[in-house]
Amino acid sequence: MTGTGAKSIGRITALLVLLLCGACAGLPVGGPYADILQVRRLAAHDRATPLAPSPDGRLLALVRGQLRLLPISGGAELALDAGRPLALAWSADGSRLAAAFAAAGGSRLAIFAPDGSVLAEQTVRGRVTALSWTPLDELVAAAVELEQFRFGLAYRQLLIRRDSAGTATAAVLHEAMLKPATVRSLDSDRLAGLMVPRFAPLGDELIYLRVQDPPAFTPYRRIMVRNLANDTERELATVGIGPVGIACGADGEELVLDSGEGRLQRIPLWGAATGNDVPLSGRLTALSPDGHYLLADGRLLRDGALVADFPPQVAGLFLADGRLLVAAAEEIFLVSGFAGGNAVRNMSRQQQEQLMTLRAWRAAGLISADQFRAARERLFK
Amino acid sequence: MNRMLVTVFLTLIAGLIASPLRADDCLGCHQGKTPAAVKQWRESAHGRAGVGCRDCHGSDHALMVKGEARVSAKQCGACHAKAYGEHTASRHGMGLHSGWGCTRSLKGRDQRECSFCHEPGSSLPRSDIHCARFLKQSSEMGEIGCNRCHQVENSCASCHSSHATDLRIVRDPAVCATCHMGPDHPQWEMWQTSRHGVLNASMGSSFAPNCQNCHMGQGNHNVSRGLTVSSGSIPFGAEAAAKGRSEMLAVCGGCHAVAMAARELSRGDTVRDQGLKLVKEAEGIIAGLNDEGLLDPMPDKRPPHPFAGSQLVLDNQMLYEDTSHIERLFFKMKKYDLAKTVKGAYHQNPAYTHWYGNAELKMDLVDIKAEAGRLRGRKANAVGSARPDERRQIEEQLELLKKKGARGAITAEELERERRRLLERFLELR
Repeated sequence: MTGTGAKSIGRITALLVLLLCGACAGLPVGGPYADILQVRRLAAHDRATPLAPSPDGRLLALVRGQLRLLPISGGAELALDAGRPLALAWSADGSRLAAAFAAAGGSRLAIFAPDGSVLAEQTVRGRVTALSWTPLDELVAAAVELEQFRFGLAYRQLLIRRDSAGTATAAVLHEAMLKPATVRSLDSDRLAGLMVPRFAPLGDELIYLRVQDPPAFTPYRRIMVRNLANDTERELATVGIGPVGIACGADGEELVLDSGEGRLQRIPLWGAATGNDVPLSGRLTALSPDGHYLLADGRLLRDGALVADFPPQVAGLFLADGRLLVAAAEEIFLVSGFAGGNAVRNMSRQQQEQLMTLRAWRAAGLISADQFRAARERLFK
Repeated sequence: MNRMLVTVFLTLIAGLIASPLRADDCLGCHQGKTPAAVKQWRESAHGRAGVGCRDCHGSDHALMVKGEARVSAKQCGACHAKAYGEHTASRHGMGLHSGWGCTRSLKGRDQRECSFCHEPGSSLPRSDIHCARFLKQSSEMGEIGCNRCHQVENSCASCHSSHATDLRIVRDPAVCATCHMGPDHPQWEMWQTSRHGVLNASMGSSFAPNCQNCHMGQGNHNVSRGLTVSSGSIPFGAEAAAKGRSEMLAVCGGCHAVAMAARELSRGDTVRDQGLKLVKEAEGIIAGLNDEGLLDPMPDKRPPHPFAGSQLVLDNQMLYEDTSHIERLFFKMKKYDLAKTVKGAYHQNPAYTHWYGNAELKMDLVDIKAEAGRLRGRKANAVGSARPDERRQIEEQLELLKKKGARGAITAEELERERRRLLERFLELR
């Protein structure tokens, strides 16, 4: 049996074991560095639900029947809310967890303290698909509204901003009319995933997709970046309406795009394209804070080289300190022990605010990309 | 028999109706109704040559009664081709389109400007008019205050009178005065009180030139020959300017040493450039205030400009109404006082060049700077005694720099330097 054949059988076996065992205790790991990785089962969770580790890596918000908080190092879980959240986000200081739940007429936003107490709650427009906090204590959310007409489906993307006083305003980012034929060609999962908004780590910029469905042409999507301080926008790429993998680089400076073409594109959000594409087989799932590690189709790669093999259907999420959360079927595992997953820069609140200002100025064309880079370096000296 | 008589009678009537009008056909009525026109025609070269009413006015009397059968320059051009050709090549030939001013001779002209007046590929001006100031007037005001002069494009009668052909009319410089006078182009007043004008009045054209001598030598109807600036006093590009200057020196050389004439006109060029510099400075002040949102009212808070909408307009299409006070000062500076300075210099009139022109230009600049200071001071007072947000101040300055850079008011190097300075200041806010 060839090496390739053995590997394939190994992966299939691992998958079968997972499927058969259900709540199996182990995560099959293959690959050249499998034996130096540490894998620890954390908890069971509901498949395809959001996960949110706190910025300090101590707590994990997950969904198992309801929203829960789990101490990552061990300890008792805390039940927060009976609902199943659509999106989760921790504030930068880890003192608040925002969660969005489906509600009649829109979404219910709830803000929890780590001890489980509810700090605030309100209903907002649309079905929330992504949440983020800014250093200025503003909660921003991307949401979708769908309205069915005889001649098509109106697909409306909203940006909701909730200030520190609790006032929430919604603005329409983009509205598109999907042809009936386009809607029929998409199943509900793909329709829901047509727009995959991503907030930058600072919460000050949003990457989102605008769908264009012209009457006599094939639908496509434009990937946009928007600075939320001044609403300046820029188009980054165009893709079809098939599945895409999108991640924002940990420093918030680039879009990492897997458009299913067998390569990973790194596109600066506000600068000229560098052409530093790398080959990628598989679909991008997660990107490490330092940008060196990525998870694609269950394969953990460092700068394109295989580190470890997990079952192909796993979902993944890197913690701020570089460790990897792997969601395999209905289990969550913590993977550590691989070098180089450096923590994101620790910034003071003042540094965060100044960095946000510099990014806003760059987006508005008030300073050049070079001037931004020089100022950012000075900021962290 | 009766039927035959009726047929003959009807045929005669039809013949009369269908037959073309001859001059004597018109005179029967117009001798009584417009006796002056008839007298002038009779005594004119047209009258002597048998060029009758129909030859110029056509035969649609109903149209004439409505006042829509004016004789166009093109009709005159059917016989007077040389004059017509020269006329259409000159600024007179685009009088109805001169709101913008033909830019074809200017340096680095924007190719898109041609479409204001011309269809693609055509050298003929379009029939619609492009002057914002005209569009702001009532039709009555536009007719009397604008068209009566600017119709020179299409009406030889503007200078020649409607029915008299005596060349004494058009050889008298006073014929130019109807239009070429007043605050924005007082060539008549300048010339009259210049050495040329005074000597011409006492000694005649063989002694000192009048308008026609310099600008229509040998009856050439291209009144733009010899010019080196646009109607807004902007100098032509090198090639067009050299051509114009050489044409004018050929005229001056009819009386003067060419070197002397060249020196005088070159001095005029310098005065022109100095005046333009002052205007440019004023323009920069106002554009800067607009960038800062300090004009009162701002362009988006007034009735829209006919062409530019809510944008600030300081070029040839600027208005003298629905503007801020500082723009009104600038209108006078650019439209009146610069014109007097430049045209005064080229017409060798010291008082217009200096007191009516250059002194007023400089006083206008004083007024504009004072008004700018007042507007800025008003903003500072509005902010109050609260400690200014330094970050916001830096951002405002960056925004101003961006606007200045976009309109070419600073170089790329200056922009880079100022941005770096502001970033330095920002990073020190810790």
